[in-house]
Amino acid sequence: MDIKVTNSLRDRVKQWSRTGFFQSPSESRTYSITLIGFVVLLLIFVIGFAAWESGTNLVYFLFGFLIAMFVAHGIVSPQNIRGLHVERILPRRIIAGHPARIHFRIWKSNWWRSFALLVKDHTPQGKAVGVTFCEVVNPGAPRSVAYETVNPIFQRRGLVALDKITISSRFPFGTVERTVHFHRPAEVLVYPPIYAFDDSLKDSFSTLGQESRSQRGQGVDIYGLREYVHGEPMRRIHWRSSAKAQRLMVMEFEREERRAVLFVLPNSVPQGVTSSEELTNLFEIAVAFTASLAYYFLERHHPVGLLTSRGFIPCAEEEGQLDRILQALALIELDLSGYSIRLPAVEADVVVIQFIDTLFAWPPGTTTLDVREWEIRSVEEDRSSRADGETVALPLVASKQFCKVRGVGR
Amino acid sequence: MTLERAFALSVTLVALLGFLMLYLTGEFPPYLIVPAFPLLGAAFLIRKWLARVPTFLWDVVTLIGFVAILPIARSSLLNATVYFFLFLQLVKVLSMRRPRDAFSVYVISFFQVLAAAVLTTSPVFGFAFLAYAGLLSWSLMLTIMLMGALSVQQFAPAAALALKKFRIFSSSPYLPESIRKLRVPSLRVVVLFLTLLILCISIAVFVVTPRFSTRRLLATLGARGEPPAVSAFEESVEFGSYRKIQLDNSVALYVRPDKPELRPNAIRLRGVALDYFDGRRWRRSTWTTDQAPFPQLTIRPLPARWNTIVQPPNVTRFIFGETFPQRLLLDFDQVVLSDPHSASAWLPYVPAKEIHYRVFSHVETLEQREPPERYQRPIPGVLTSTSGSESPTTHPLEIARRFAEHLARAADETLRASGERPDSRPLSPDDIFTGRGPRVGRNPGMRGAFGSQLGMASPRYVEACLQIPNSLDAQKLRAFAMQIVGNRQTVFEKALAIESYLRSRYQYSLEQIPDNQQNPVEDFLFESRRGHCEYFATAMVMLLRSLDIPARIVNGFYSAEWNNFAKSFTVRQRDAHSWVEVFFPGYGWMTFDPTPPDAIGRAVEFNPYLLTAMRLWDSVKLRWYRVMIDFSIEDQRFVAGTFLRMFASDHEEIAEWSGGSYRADDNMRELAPTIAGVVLVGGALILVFVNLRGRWAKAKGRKTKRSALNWSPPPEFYGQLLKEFERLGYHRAVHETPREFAVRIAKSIPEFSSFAQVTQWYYGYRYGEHELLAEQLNTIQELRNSVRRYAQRGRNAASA
Repeated sequence: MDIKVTNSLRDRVKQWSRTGFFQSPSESRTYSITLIGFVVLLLIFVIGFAAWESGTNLVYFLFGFLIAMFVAHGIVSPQNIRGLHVERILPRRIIAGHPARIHFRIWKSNWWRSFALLVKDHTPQGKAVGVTFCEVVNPGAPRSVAYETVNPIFQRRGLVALDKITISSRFPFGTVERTVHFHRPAEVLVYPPIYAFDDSLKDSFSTLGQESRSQRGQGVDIYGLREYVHGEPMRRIHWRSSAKAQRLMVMEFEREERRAVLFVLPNSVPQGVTSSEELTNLFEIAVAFTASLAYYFLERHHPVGLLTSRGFIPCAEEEGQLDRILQALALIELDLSGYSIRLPAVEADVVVIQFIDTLFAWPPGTTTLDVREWEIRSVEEDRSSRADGETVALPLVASKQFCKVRGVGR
Repeated sequence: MTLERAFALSVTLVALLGFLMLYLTGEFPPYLIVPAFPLLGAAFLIRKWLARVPTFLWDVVTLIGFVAILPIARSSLLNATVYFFLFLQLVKVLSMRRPRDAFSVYVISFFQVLAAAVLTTSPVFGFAFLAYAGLLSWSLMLTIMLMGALSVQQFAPAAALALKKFRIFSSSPYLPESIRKLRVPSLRVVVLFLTLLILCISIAVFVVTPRFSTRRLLATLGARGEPPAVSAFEESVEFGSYRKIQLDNSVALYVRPDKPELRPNAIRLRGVALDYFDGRRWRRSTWTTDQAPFPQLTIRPLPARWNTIVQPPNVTRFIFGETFPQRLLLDFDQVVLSDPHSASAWLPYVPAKEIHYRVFSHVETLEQREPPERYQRPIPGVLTSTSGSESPTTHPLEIARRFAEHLARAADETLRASGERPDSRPLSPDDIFTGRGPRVGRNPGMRGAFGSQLGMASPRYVEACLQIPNSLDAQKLRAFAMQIVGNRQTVFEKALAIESYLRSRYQYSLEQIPDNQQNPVEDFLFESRRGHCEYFATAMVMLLRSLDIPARIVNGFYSAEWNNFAKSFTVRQRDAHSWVEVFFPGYGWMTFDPTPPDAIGRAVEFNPYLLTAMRLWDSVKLRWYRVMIDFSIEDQRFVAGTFLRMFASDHEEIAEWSGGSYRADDNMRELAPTIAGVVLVGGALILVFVNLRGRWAKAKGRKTKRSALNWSPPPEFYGQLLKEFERLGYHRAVHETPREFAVRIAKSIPEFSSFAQVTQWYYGYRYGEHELLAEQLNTIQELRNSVRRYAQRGRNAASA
């Protein structure tokens, strides 16, 4: 809440003129005449002149009617937005490219109903980043409305500052738009986008963090066959066996021992490399790639860690590990001051996400994934190019996936 | 009702009401207006189909309409403009796509209402306008709501493409599901409140807005405006035509006295006086350009009163007033044709719409007549005193000649006194008839006194009132008249004798008079001895004229039908009546009515319930005219004065300011209760509304305290699934995205893992504007059923 304390009478008058004498400094009201309002004003002048010229009483009455509409709007419109209160409810996670909903809880402290409210969320620069509509707020019944985080500001990872919430309304006649401004500063951390991987990419790190044991489980080696249960993924059906058995049979796989996976994102680049748009783009892809990998392996119950040139998150599988990694990735920046990363001694498969050529020699056994060999495609696009278009809906995953760059062989 | 449907309905109704109000004016042919009603109704029903019609096609239709109306513009540009706007309104409603299109409909409908306001004075306009105000309020609210809902869509990139193709009345996918399914919150109370508020403010603005028109302002500033068009007018009445009229029960006039409590039992309305009779037809013999329509017809001080007269369309062009009309208040720009000799006024055409005017009249009833000698002014050289001595002659020309001689002598005396030689020339016709000849005119002081001293505007006109048609046997008439008057000496006694004779010896009848009758007056007097009022009046005029007594016939109405609701007389065509005016030198004109009294002012024979209903409606009409149509700057001054008197200490000053000449008209004070009633009733309704609204809100608040947050409605199928899961105890948290919720469900109940797929479809449907396929809908339904079965199994297990 930004309350400017001042002793100057001039400043006070200025503040009163902005907020109104009886208004709280955290709320201010403004109004503006709309196009409809200008049309009605024009009509008032025209009809007024016609009445004056003709002296016809019924035209005088219509003149009165137009003025009455304007005045009635002036009486009802302030009541429509008076006594409104709003608070912003942020979602647990906002992931770039993945629509989340930011909610507004609106309620009334007086007994008038409010109609046709347009609720907007603003950045400190005054730009509206989200809009939602609330057709009615009844007194005593809080109302929740939400907007999708589809604004470009939410499509990039990082910290997003939100400031003002405005509720505006043109109810009932649209001649004047009245707006009440609520100063509700907040910060939102937008996580990097998480994409799915296509099968060819999955193959490239299929052996990561796994040790095979001859037990039934979620591995890749076939353990046996059993009858299909409704709800299971169709891709596990073993069609040849199903044909033989005249019923649907699914494959069971050997359970695999999950090992920790440490992702290394060397965000510091060698000296001499200058910042460029291409480099920045590649870095962003690398960040998204790292986030997607972390999510992929955490979903499969692998302990996952993250190493960057600015910090280290030890490997863990516990709840909250994904948020720790995503928070780190949300704030990570390209460091042009020189290459500096030191690999800690950990019992884990080390995966280096490479987005720029370096001369650094990684220890043996380290897996290097170069994001330049992969591209991001929308699921739809990819589905159309594939024979079996089945995709699995996963939470937090945007409708895009990493795919092998066409024409690049391995 | 969904917002889309309510919006479409309200816009259609607003347009429909605009057409209806134009129709009610009666100025437009039905074939132009009536087809619009079914068309608009059909447009509402098939709006989704109409939305598929390409926009350019409507442009072509508009262009065709414009070209088709062009030929009309050659004859009347105004008509062509009105017709084009009617056509445009239809096209606008039929081609409506977006909420903002509705504003075109509103603006055109407002101009329709404006046209109706100009063209009509009917109180039906008031009721229609009330409906219009309510409907427009409702429709505007819905439009604002819809525009607000749609403005949100602009921030959704997924819907951006769809928005370009957006059609408000079309089905999905053009209209986003979230808006199409949006329900309208109850607006009844708001609409009622706003309509009431608008009406109260409208009335207040109407009352206080200064009534100054350009002409009046110019007149106030001393500029020479266009003078009112007044000219002579010839009017003739076929003898016997009253018979048909007197069989007609339709309403001709409403007459509302300003002092209903002092009303007479019956009212006599004077229309036109006719002086020339050719044996079959009465007409006026004079033309004049005099601009005073109602001269003073008698010098006797008579009681006077104001009447408001309302005339339905297509009745007559005469202006009516009580016995001797004196002052007329019409619409400012109304052209009036008049003839001061006959003291009659006409409109230039028979009005095709209802008109209203106010007339101030001197009232002379038959019972209140007195011998004119009491009031006669002495005419030097003719009548020497007011003692009642009768002039040796009654012939107006003789009286005028004697008076002119007297004036000439007076002028000569003046010349002698100043040492000049008297004028020896004989009197010229100008000296005798107008007092402006070379001899009389030399005495300037006498010029103005000439006409008023004689009690008439023109001796020549009075002479015309002695005309007897050649077809009548004047000698026979004179002999008959002499027989009636006997040895009576004064003109008044002679006139009374003839009036009384005809009343008592002749019979009133509306029987058909044969057309081949050559001399209906003589036939009435000497043969049939029965007829209607026109016969009686004509016979009396002819008998008086045969005795050199100037007389004329007056056509008008005589009604005794009092409407207690409207506080007015209802005058029907059957009340049409003829009577006689007799001239008395030095006095003026006096009313005589030879028709038997029991034959006039007869009660109307209607069903009593129907009559009561008709009178109630008449009451509404007359109040409308008084409070709305006739509202004037004088009324404003009165209202302002009333309010000021309530607060000011110096009552006298304010009374002086607000009263003026108008204060004499005490009946106008009836406005005060009307205005006070409107203010009080309006205020009371607002208070009741506020009170009830507060209580309702409190009750509502108590009920809704326990309710959870209301979410904006998701697409139906997803919302139903959420409800099913809620029954199982799985509530979607505020912070949870649909996908997160789907994963939670999949983890908790693996049986419903397909919910993740449904959630994916929901995303596509809601944000990507993808339609659902039939098999997808089946899967959703299957999932819903399985959730229900699951819940049922749980309940069974629990009960077991």
